[in-house]
Amino acid sequence: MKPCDECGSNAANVHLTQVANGQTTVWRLCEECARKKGITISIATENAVPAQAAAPVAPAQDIECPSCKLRFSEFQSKGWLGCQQCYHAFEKEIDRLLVQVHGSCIHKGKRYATESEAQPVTPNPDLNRLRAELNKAVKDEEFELAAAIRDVIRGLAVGGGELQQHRG
Amino acid sequence: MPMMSCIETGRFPSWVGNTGADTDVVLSTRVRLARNLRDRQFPLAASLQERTSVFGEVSSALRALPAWHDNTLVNFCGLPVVQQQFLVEERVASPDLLRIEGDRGLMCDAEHRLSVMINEEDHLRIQGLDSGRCADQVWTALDGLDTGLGRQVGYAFDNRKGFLTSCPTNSGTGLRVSFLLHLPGCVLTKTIEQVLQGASHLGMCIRGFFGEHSEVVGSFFQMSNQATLGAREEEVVAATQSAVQQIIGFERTARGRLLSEAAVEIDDKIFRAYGILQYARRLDVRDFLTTCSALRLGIVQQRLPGVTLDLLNRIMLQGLPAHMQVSVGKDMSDEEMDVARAELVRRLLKGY
Repeated sequence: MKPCDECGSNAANVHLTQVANGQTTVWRLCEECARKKGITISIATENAVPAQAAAPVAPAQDIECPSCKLRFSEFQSKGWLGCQQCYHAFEKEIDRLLVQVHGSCIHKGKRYATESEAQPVTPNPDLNRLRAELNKAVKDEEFELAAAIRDVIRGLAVGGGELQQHRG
Repeated sequence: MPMMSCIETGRFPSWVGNTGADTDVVLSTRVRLARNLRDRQFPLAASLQERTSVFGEVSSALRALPAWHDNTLVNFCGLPVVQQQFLVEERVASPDLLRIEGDRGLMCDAEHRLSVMINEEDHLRIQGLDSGRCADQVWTALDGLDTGLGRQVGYAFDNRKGFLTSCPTNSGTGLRVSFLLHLPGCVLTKTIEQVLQGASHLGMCIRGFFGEHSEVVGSFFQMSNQATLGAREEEVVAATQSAVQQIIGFERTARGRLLSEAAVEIDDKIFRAYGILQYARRLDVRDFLTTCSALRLGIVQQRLPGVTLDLLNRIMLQGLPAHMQVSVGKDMSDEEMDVARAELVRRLLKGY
């Protein structure tokens, strides 16, 4: 396999064809350089966890779910979460993963509420925090994540409204 | 013996029939929802006691639904492996269900239209399955069951992320719509790669249905939606229906081309397969599926009078390994099974 056009060392297994102003440029990149350019590599199987989410984490960042004690690194190696609280404990990582797999991290489908409506697992974040996250994502050129956060900000008003009606 | 319906009673699952739309290309439609109980460990992380408790809670909740009162409950714990595999071939259990320990299993109606797996990767995998292309009808029935069951038990649900699943690849709607497709035209005209790529652009994932890893046996494929989060259920159903209709179009065009340009070769393939199925003394699974695939093409393209699609669908289920073992009533070696399979197919096709 040919070396990557960008770093010249790793094997190029991502082929990017860029069409701009009528000019076609073909890039042969390694996965790492492709990722730096903001290209996510989609995986065509139902349950595969994308490579980025499976990258090793530093021990300090290896968060543990306070409820079921599953560590984030265990999730990466096993591919499954231990309980619903894991979604809160690993929220940032899981949001990123959801965007990679689904192109979104916001549920728009069927709503569910029982009489004893429990607190949401992931509380609605305040707008200021979201705007800060959005700015950071744009700065880091994580455009898919940025787009998803933008959708969250836009969707907050709508989602909140629906929920109010539901409870009323 | 639980649920050995087609062998003991001659009753077959509904998906084996030839009743849905576009059965020349689409064998069946399966729609499933992944759900978990609130505040319980997900099954793969749960202790055996926790699994037993969930199994009990879900099966009582199902029994409390009027339409489910008399449905069969099967616990895989302690069930002979051949009967577990039988239920995989009937397509109400997943192969993964065999590998999990403790109380896990399924409950389903007599015709396997609606079924619920308990303690697979998620506490609940609610499934609707029927013949041909029928995603809208199956989704409607499944949605009703899900809503009813959701009133009996508490689901793990989050306002932002939707239904929470063991693997985040299923969260949100938890909805996967899949079609079992027969694409011999695309395979023979070597346009299958384009179809696979096109489907992937539409957010669909396609893989071989029989055979392990990337191998495809008999040109049978399964197509399903990739994303489960970010769209409404009806939008997911509509997107998969639209993608599958495009694939049906490609397949019919490919078959038309083959029959106008290479009719003799195609007929030769079909009638050789028919000959093998009527006369062979030994049929391994690969031979069996490959010849059934050619016969299917002959039947739906009306090249082969005298065999119905219903009959072929039944043969394709009864000839699978666990169905063979259960009907013969004893464990067989692969060789013995190949001989028994050839006998069964000859008898059903009235061969010699």
